[in-house]
Amino acid sequence: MRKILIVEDEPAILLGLKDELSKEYAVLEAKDGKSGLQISLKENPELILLDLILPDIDGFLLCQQLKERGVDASIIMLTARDQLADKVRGLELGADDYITKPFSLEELNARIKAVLRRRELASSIERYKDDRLEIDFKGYKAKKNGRPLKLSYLEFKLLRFLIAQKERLISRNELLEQVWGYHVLPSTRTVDTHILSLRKKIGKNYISTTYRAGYRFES
Amino acid sequence: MGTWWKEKRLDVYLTAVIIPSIILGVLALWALITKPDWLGSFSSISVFVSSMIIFGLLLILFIGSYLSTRDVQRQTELARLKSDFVSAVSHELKTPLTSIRLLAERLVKLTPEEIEKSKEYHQLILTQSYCLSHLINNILDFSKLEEGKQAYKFEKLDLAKLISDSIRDYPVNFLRPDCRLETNLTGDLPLLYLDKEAISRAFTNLLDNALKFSPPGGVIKINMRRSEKEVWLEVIDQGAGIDEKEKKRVFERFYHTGKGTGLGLTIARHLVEGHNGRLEFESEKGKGSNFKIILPLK
Repeated sequence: MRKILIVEDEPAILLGLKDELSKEYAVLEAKDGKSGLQISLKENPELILLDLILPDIDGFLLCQQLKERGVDASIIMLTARDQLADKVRGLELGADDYITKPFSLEELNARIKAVLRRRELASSIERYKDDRLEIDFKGYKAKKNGRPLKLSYLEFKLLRFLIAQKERLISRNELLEQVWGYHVLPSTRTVDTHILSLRKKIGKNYISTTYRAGYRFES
Repeated sequence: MGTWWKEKRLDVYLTAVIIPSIILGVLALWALITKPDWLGSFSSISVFVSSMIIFGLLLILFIGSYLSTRDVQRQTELARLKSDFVSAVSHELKTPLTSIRLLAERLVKLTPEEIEKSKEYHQLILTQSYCLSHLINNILDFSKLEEGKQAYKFEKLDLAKLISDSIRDYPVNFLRPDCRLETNLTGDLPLLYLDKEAISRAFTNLLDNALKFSPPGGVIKINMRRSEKEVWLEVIDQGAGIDEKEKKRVFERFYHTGKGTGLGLTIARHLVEGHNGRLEFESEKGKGSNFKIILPLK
């Protein structure tokens, strides 16, 4: 069974989520940020449902700490905050999706499945290597011509998604949805900015652009 | 016009006046000291007087500017607190609403094997509904207090019974099953002229805070004692306590320390003062707080 960790301090919500998800997944629970971090490091869940307002730590900060400590789980943020700025902040910090309270179980289940599907697709490759570039997607390490290359979390995620679907043309909207988790597309140049930055770092010949259609990874 | 002078435009206006005033003042002082030929028949006294008038004007303008800046800062702080309040209320409303929706959906989906869970779900839904109505009542009360429309219906009541009924109706065991309530409501009290709902609301706001801030396994004590002229109703918790810096602000509307909406204590104090009483507290960081409703016996 796939492991899901619920980090939520409200007992009634925790109980409802736990009972709903335990039919399909192995459910772990944490009532505060500190135990959320400890359980994540120990149990290595595939997905974390993270409430943003916790008694001991801000959920955004916990999300950042989880990524910094190398926790590889996908993260869905659960929150009453519904401002676009909050959603973007969460997604930029490495969350994979964002659900606004109150939500329906049907919506939650669908989002969980979508995130796990994306995870499966992306994690189908753990390493990439050619004569110039070497990338370890699990350890978040990259080298170019034998020298360490510094890539951000989102750049690793974007590159992994592009490489997993090597030679396929992927639209900007699909990248926004699959890599960033944006369902309502904000008018953003974020994909172009990240592609530009990746090209500068790994070399411009790896990612090709088809005008108005999208991007493609070419080995 | 309204409150235009309270806004930042005043700073711009004052700056436009102050800068030329400074130049004039410096010129006047320079003239007083050097007495240049072009002053002609003007005496040094008239130069001195005019420079003093300019400096006086300057001082008034500086004070005005300081006061207006302070006022703008207060308005900005209030606007920030209001925005924070909307966000806090949104969170406080959505949390019980989410619980109710989740559990109601789960109830519909329960299989025959899970049917024993339904009682727990029902109880949690009731508790969460109580939390929602408590919050909504607080918002409505606050709105009445702000508009000065709070009306009291005083009647002769037994305070101990009123508080004991409020505790019975409050879902303490479901909100914080890990906490223990110790009550000591004995005391030889005469019947008091009270508004039942107002005193109950003031007390439950204090109890609600004590529950929110109590550590796991914490004990909340509710004591009643009297002197010759007054009765004290104490709600004592073992929570995080209040920081010295925050003590001055706990009764401010919208002010909160991360939990709640920042209305509970403001409302409680208004309601207690509506009974010619006082709401006082003692608190030590890391040890807990003691909030006291003090009411006159006559």
